[in-house]
Amino acid sequence: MIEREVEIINETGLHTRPGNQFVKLAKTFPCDIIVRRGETEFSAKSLLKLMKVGVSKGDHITIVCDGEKENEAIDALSNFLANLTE
Amino acid sequence: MNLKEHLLSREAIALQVDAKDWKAAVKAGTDMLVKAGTIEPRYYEEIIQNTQELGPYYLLAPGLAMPHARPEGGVIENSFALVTLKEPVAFGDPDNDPIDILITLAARDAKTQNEEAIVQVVTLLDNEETIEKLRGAKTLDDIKILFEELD
Repeated sequence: MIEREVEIINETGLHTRPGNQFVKLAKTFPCDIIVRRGETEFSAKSLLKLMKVGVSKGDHITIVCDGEKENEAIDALSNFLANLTE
Repeated sequence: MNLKEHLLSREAIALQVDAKDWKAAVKAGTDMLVKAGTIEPRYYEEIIQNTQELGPYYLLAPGLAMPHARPEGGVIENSFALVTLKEPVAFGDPDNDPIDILITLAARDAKTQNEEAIVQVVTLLDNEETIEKLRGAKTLDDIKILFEELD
């Protein structure tokens, strides 16, 4: 299991479209992927959960990957977040 | 803006709608909001155009859609509409197709949209039992009873 903290830098956060892309990317990996923000944890593969929590610009979240291809998954997801521009 | 109150007070609920494709399904929701005076007709065009350019970015989970565009796309007042379909339609996303429950969302600014409106929609829909009851609802009274149970 590995985890990494990232800051959300894009203006619209993980609402709607970027959130949808994030979830789609997470679903391409076989490992379990959890997002943690403060006391809240949820599956990175559920857009409903992600939107319910509402991840905004400036939030620090921790991505936790556990299982097959966990290294690839954490790199891909943190790169995705670092490169969000809209 | 309270989702359940909004839907009931504006009569922005259409159940068991016959929609021939995804565009007709989206239009069933936006038509009610145009009639209620809370969006301009161009809001529908914005959603269709965005969908064609970006894909259906508003599909939340299997069966569930939350069509919306940006606040500057013709929103007059914060509002919601609920549409359920008699026969589900495909939006072109294998993860979530086919869709038969849509909650159209219109918010006047991005903060309201992201931090209030969307949160209310997903809070309502993040419950299998609620989804099954929405799917099975035939009359406005069925929805009223469901919403009363949830409050």
